[in-house]
Amino acid sequence: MKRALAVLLLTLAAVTAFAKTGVVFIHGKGGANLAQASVARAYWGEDMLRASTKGFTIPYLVCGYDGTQYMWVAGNQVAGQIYNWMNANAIDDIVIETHSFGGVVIRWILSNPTYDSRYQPIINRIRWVNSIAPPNAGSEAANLAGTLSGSWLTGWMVDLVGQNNDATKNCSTGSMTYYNQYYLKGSAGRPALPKTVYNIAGTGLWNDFVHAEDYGLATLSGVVGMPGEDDGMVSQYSAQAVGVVWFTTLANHHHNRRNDYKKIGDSLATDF
Amino acid sequence: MKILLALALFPASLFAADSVGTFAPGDMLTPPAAHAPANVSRMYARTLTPGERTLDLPAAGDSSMIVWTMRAVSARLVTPTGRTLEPDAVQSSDRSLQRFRFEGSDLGFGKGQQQVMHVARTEAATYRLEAAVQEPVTVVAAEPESRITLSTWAAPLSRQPGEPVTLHAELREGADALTEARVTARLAPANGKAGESIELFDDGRHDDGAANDGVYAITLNDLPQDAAGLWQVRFEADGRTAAGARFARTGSGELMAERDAARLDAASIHATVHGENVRITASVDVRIAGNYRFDVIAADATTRAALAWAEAPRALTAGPTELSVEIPLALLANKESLRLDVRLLGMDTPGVAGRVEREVSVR
Repeated sequence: MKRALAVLLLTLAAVTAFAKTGVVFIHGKGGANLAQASVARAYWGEDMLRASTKGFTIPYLVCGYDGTQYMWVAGNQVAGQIYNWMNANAIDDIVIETHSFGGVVIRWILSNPTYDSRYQPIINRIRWVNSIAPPNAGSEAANLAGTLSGSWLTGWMVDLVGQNNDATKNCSTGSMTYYNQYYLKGSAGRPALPKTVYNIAGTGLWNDFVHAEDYGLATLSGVVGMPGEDDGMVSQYSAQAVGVVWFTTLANHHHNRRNDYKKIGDSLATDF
Repeated sequence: MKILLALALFPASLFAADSVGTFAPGDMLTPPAAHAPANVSRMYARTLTPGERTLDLPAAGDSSMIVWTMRAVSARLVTPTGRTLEPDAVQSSDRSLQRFRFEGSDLGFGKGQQQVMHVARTEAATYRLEAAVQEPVTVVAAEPESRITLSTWAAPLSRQPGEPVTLHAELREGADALTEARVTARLAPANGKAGESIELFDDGRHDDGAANDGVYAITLNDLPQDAAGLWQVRFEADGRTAAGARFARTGSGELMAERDAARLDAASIHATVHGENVRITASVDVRIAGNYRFDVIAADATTRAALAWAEAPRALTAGPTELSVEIPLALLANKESLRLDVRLLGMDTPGVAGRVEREVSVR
């Protein structure tokens, strides 16, 4: 109810004050090629972008950053894109949509306004953040990547798992406990974030028996033993560790960044 | 409104980038956790190497089993009673064994097909994976419903140079301690190779609590290498359940080895009133010049209710210096005694240069 009222009031304010609204998408971790615009766009899928922006009628930016990097490196890459876009298009009312590690990246920006000169101007223009499946308290799946990395093999430098990179290391439960305590705001015992984060936690695994991703996510969930409900990558408790709970979704980690199994994009569009 | 008022009271001489804020009613001063939440494992990892044709996979018999090969190798799974899941089969004749595949990159686990074999219900015995591999293959076996758990952590989470490191592992079968297991750990620095295996003990003489309580530990005087950054710990446990069934578990832990970028002098921290503000000051010996942030969290000394916070970014040169930040008295409820959590954080390379918690009188 509070959120719906806020949307109504902001819409009225925008009409009166001629604010220009825009939406920014920040993806999760992955490969270095996520820095490419086309790859970043494909991460979300066209229908998610279409639905969230009400048929592309809301000005939008799909950020693309190297998905292997630490949150502070990713933060600077994202901030540069947002800063340039918001100034070029005179956007002064920004809704941020994030998925997975993207939720951590935006928290870095919100929590460390003096880290880069572009951060505070961006923060000033953010309305709020909608964070889908963010590993706010870390991900036990990221712990597994560390456990299975090539560091443990004597005599070989081969990283069999291949993804124990900086972004994955940032997502482990140990790392997020560390950064939550010292550098990130919004978690228990810490100063509040300067803008509201609404979280959407994934609580489903089996969405589509045809797609192999579901088998993979179910395997991961079974192997790492995430406590409580999870979406195959991020536990509900972790996603809900920061911010306000907006809703939960049965869409797993593969599907909850899209507008297919569940119409999450349609929900995001209610902000406009 | 309070924050706006507070900012309006800031003298012009203070750093423009300093920021202050308040906590919500009910928020309490929360010291950083000594270690990350325990990693609770019901799985173990093994490596199938070229030259080995079989891999033993112990099962406790109280769960299903997931056998995950990090490559889609041609493998046969053999049960203790001789049933098999043949290399090309999707399931066994009685459907108790099943196989499926997925793309590793979909989960961020590197390219290549991954293979999973599922055992609906295990027997308390050893299963066998038969495969011929050209390169080392990681095999993970998990028992998701098992009562046997390995809970692990490493401390301290933020470790300053010279601080000892404790490795902690707890083995349980439900609520019961699992004793007489062999528990070891290896530590790997950030982007480095793991060191030698270190044994943990449950004898009451290694910071492990009481003897034979299922808690295994060891305290190291120092890390194996002088390397800053995120250290990962991999724990291995092998033993037998109360019923005599063999089990294995692999767990993990992490800690941040700090860089010794600066030293915060705890005794130097004090709070003084300057006009409408409280100025918190600390002496610091900076070893690595660069950008830092001086953070203070102030709480009621008696109730520990969190009152206000301040963050002050500073560019520091090497050598001794004094840092200060001001918080409006109004945000501190005019308290005469405060509990301060004072931190110096590196910003060029994120890391805790120093942290002190101290009670001060406001003079």
